[in-house]
Order: sequence, then C-alpha cells, then structure tokens
Amino acid sequence: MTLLNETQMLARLVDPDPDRRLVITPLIRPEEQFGPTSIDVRLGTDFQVMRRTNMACLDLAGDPQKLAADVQRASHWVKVPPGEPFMLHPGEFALASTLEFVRIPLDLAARLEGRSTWGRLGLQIHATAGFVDPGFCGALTFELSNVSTMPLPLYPGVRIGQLCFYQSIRTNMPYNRKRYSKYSGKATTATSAFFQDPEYARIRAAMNETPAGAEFLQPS
Amino acid sequence: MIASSSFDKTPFDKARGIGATSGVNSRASHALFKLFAYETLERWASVGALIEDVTGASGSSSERLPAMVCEALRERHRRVFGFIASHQSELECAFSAGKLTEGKLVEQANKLPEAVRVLRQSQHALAKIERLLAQTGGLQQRAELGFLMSETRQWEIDQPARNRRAKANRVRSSADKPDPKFWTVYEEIQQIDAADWDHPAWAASVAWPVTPSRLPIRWAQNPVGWLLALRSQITQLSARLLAESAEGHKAMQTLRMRLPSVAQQAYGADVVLAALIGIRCYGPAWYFTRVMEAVNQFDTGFLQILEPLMFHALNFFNFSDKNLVLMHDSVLRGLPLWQQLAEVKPAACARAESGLYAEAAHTGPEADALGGSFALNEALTDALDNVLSWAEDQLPDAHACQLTQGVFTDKHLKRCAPMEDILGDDMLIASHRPYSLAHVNVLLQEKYGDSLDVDASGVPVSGQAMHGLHGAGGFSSVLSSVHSPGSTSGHSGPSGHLMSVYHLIGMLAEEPISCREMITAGWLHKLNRASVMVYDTLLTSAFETDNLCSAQCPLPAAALRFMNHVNSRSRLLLKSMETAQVHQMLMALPTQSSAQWPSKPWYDSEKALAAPSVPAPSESVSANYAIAAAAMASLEI
Repeated sequence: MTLLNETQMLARLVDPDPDRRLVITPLIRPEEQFGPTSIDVRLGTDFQVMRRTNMACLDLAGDPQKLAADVQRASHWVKVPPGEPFMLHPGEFALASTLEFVRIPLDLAARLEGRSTWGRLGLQIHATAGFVDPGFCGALTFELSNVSTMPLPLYPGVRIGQLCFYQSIRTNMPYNRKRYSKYSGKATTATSAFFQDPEYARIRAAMNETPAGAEFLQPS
Repeated sequence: MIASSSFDKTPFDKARGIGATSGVNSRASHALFKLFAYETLERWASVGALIEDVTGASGSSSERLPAMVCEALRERHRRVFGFIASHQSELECAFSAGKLTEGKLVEQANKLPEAVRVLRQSQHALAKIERLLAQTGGLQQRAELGFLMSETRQWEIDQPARNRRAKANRVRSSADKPDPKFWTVYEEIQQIDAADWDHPAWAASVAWPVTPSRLPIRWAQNPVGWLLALRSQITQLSARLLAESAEGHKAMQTLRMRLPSVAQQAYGADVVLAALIGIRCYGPAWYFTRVMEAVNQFDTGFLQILEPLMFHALNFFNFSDKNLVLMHDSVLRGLPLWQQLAEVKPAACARAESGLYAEAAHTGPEADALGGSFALNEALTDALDNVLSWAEDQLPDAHACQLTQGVFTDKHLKRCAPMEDILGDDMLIASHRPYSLAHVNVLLQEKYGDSLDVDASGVPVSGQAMHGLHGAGGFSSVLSSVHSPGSTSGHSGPSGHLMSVYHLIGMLAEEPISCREMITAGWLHKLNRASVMVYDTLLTSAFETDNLCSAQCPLPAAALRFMNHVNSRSRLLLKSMETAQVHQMLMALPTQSSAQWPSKPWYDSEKALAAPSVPAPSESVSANYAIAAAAMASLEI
C-alpha cells in the first residue's frame, strides 16, 4: 500500500482510462484542497440526527422491514441552505455527507480523515468508519460528533475532511458490485442499513430455533 | 395533418431526409406513444418513491403517516400497477420490439389506442393518489402535519390490537379522535377502485393551468418537469415586454394577422409569445416540457399550433440536437393518431377529462377545425422571425447580468450533451471543467513523465524511472533533479518547463452549471433512454402480476428497476442542483437568498413563486428583467 502524493493524485484525476480515473467532483478550488498526500473534501447540505423516540431499542430480532421503518422514524433530516449553519451542539452526533461525489478506481483505496483545524475545535468527522473501498461511488458519509464544550456552526461547503489514497492491487470485487454492499451510489447522507447485514438474518433464525440440547435441560 | 413544406427548408429536415410514408407515420406514432408510456411509468415511479418516502420504508422524510394510511396508499399503488400489468398483452402488441416490417408496424399502430387507454386510466388513478399524498403527507404539507402525525402515532401505539377499519370508524365517532383529516383521507383511499377512475372530484383538483398550490408533488422530487412551475412568470414577462414595446406590439400584430383565424381563437398572442419567450429563457428544456405536457394531456391544439412555432423558434436560436428533431418529427407524424385518441373518449375517462384535460377540451374543437390547413408558410415564418428578433433584442445576451445568468444559448445546449452521458453513468453533473482532462494530462505527462505510476509495492513501474533509481547515475541523479531550481514542488519535468504543479492542479478547478442546463441534460437523458426503459419494463419476463401479491417483493423486478433508475436520476439531479448552489456561493458569485434556494421550491413552491412582485406597467423596461430574473431565480444560480 503506497500513499499517493499530489502529482500521482493529479495524474489519477486526469487519467484517460475511465477505469483508472479517480473522480472527485466538484473540485471547487483545487489549489486550496490539494495537500501533499491528500485532497480536502467539503461538507454537504444534508444532515441527519437521531431524535428521541419512545422506542426502547432497535431490536435486531425483529422484522427487517420494521427495523428499516424504525430507523427512518428515529431519524430527522435537516437540509441546510448555503450560507446558513448547521449547529452541532456539544455531545451531539449527526450524519452528514460530502459535497463532493467520489468514484474510487479499482486499484485505489482511500481513507477519510479529519482536518486538524476542526479537530482542534473538537469536531470528529467519523467515529470508526473512515475506510473507502475500491470501486466506491457516491457521496461519503461523515459521522460528525462535537466533543468540545462549545456549539460548532457547520456551513455547507467548508472543508472539514480530507481523503488520502492508497495504491493497491486491482480488486476483482469492487464495492459497487460487491454482494451485500449497502451504501454505494448514494448521492446523499446514507442512514445505517445494519439490518441488511446477513448475520442478523442468521441470528434471527438461531433465536427462533430450539437450542441444541434444550430437551436435556427440561425438568423431568 | 400539418403540411410540412415549410419545414423542409430547415437544416433539420435537410439532414433528416424522412419521407411522409405510412410506415414513417406509424413509427412516429410509436415514438409518441413511447414517450407517453415513459411519462406515465415515470410518473408511476415517482409517486411510488414518494409513497415509500412518506410511508417510511426507504425515504428521507422526517415525519411519517399513520400505518393504516401508509398501507392503504401502498395497496392502491400496487393496484394501479396491477392494472397496467393485467393489460400487458395489449401493451406488448403495441410495443412490439424492433425488427418489424412497415406493414407490421402499421398493424401494431392500430392497437395503440387500446394501450393508450390502459396507460391513461392508470394515469388517472395515479393523479388521484398524488392528490391524496398531497393531502396527507406530501413534502409541502409535511412540516405542518408533523405534530398531528406524532399525535396520531401515539394514538395508534395506545391501541395496537384494534382492527384498522374498526379503529377508523370508532375514532370518527369518539370524542378524543385525532384530527379528522387523516380519517377523511383514509376513507378516500379506501374508496379508490379500479372502476372509479373517472371520479370528477379528484380530476378537478389537478386541472390546468398549474398554479403553485396545485403543483403535483412528484415534481418536488423529479426536477425534469419542474419548469412548468415557471409558466406564470413567463406569461408575465411576455405580457410586460409586449406592453412596453411598440415594435413588439407591431410584430405581434403582424403575426396575429398571419396566423390562421382558428389558431388565433385557440391561442391568443400572449400564449404564443409566452411560448417563444420560454424558448429564449430556458431553451430546449422548455420545449420538451411543454410538448410532453401536451402529449400527456392529449392537447392536440398545442401540438398542432404551438409546437411548430416553438420548433421554429428553436431553429431561430440555433438549438440543434437530434432529440429535438426526433421529438418534432414524432409530433408531426403522430399527430393524426393523437387526434384520433383525443377524440376517442372511453366512458370511464370522459367525465375525468372534463376536469383533467380542461385545456385540451377547450382547444380540441378549434384544433379539429384546423385540420390540415395550418402550415408555416413563408409569410407566417417572416412574421414569426420578426417576433423572435424582437424578443432577442428585448432579452439580449448583453443584459445577462440583469438576468442572473442570461438567456439560454446554443453554447449552453452544447454543454448539456456530455452532461447527459455523465448522468447516464450515475455521476453528479453539478460542474464542468474549463480545461479538458486530456489537455491537463498532456501537460502533466510532459512535465512529470513516467514517474507518476507506481505499483502496489510503491516502486515506479516505468523503465525510465527504474533506470533512474538503479542505473549507474543512480540515486544521486534523482536527488539532483529533485533539488533543481526549476522544480517548485520537488519534481522536475523532462521538458524543463517552469510550470508549477499548482498550475496543473489549478486547471482542474470546476465551474458550477446552471440549473437550466441540468434540467436540459435531464431531458436529453430521459429522451435518449425512454424507449429502452419502457421496453425493459413492459416486455421483460419478470413483469408478472403474480409478483404483485408477494409480501417480499411487492412490485415486479422490472418495475423496481425502472423505479430505481428514475429515482436515482432524480436524486442525482437534485443533489447536483444543491451542490451547484454551494459551489456558486464558494466561488463568490452572485447567489440567491435562502428564500430563493431551490430546496424551497421543492418543498414550498408557493413561496418561491410568489416571491417576484409584478411592477406597474409604467415602470422602466428594466422591470422586465426583474421579472425574468425572478422567474429564473428559482432555477438559476
């Protein structure tokens, strides 16, 4: 895995071969966005926060369609016009997306990282999911959280994250064609689709089955 | 049928070389029918997506409808699709895919009316569902209903075991019932039935012309047809231009004299001028939108009178695209069939059309009276050219600053063609690059040569670079090149140019694209793919009614595919528009206030369209630009 530098990223952005071309659009001011080994990405206009509901939990044993509806019901979508801020209060968590639409070629992987400018103010842009698979196509989702004690006004279009790219061996299983891929092709903030993970189906099936050896535990 | 002698003089017809044979007429009729079918299916898909959005299965809305209303809406939507599916054989006959002799094509054309009837009835049902959605939880009303919904939801939670129908009845009679709005709506949904297509109450609610309050909510999510919302502004602008210009008044008088009397009765001068001004301001997208609206409504008067004028205006302003020619040709050749279909009013549709197709009903008799007499003869063409020249003077490119982004020119259209391809690749079309990628690539290769590519282990793959590292000169030569004075970023190109890497990076800067161009690209995309998508949806083997009853797959696979395609394109277009807004703001170019931001019209079109105030006629001519700018403000950036 080799981290690409600025000229290599530039070469990938203008590569004549569409399969090798890295797409990041719009590049509004690339001179400002390019770093030695990274490209800054901007905040989009769609935000999603979890609201307080009377649901005790998202029960994994439940019906996936009901889970999907519950997740949607617990989500509140906020669309912020340009020039107006989204206020992220201390301790709050929100999903957002990049303004840029990204397409990663099959022989590159990417990592989404925060910018130190915002890190010093207490903004974290992802909790644990910063890796972008080869073949990903769409807007990247930020998992914003404010760990400072001051509310942070977040304006659409500000650079809050950066992407760095790793050269890898060309994959035969790109993300957009991967089985069980859930977030490819999304143009906006994507809600968690954990209920689509196949293991939950197995868990549900296991929970509905009688556990092995249960008959021996029955009182005689 | 319209005489086409005057069109033969245009460059389009010279290139076209299509004769007016019966086979061509049948093919054109099929083309018109495909567009109609695509429009119907797209509408069906948009409404389906809206139902999913509002009812909470996959969408993004913040408020949800009560479960019983959701289920009722879904059920009715499934039933509408089932209605189309049950008539699949008729549609198949009409859609016979490719490799047909002309005789067969004529034979198939005879079956078109039956297929059109099926689609028309499904359209009526969808219009009714749209109206119900607008009442219950459409995007425009969602915020207002939020509190009500939460109350209703709580009420449902409190009484989980009750039967839904019984609950509705009980609530209606109880003192602590929630707002009766839901239950009224629920009852209305229950009353929709396949035999109830022609209920006059709902048909009247979607009567034309479209006012903001009547704007179908599907346009909130599908921006391609959204231009119609600007029709009132265009009418205002043309009326103002006409009132303040004596020259224009004279040109219009001449045009009025040259127009056949029947056409004058059907469409006044203001309607004609508004159509032409729309072309000037919005370009081919306006033409596509208006023609498809007319096709959808069987407005043969429009197709017969205004469409040729609008197509002539497109020629006048140098808009050339194959889709324009194909569409015009389809309308021209398919008009007899469409007239026939407009006359054939099944009993089930007759009453509905009195409301839904009010405009068409008004113009229908006049259009029939025209017969084949209307033609763009030389005198009429001259008069039309005078009017268009006058419109060009009144809305010149030089006043672009006053018109936010200026008028729509052929340069804009040329930019839209590649955007259509990009949209086809499921990519964002919010911006374009002034420099081509190939140009930047050439400069990059010239400067940095083969040292750009690295393999997975991080070693340069080019032989030259390998030689540079491992050869006799080895590392010292690389070091010396890195520290050469001409290299700004630590690299030196073989050509020795002093171009910094920042210059190359700067060449990748993108410029935002206006919403008009995006909508035009959306139309081109739609027209290019209409046939394929309709064939795929209607003729695929997965299109079976059995699937409709499946709980796991409520809609057939082909329908889902179609729906996904339409919705992904719509989402991309909307995202592109939003992104372009932010882009524009960051480029420090004039932007709109938040009240005019495009997201507002999607959700609250009334405010956005009510924003421009109409100045008094005595004010200066610049007021015209103010109206035009206000009209474009909801689309422009």
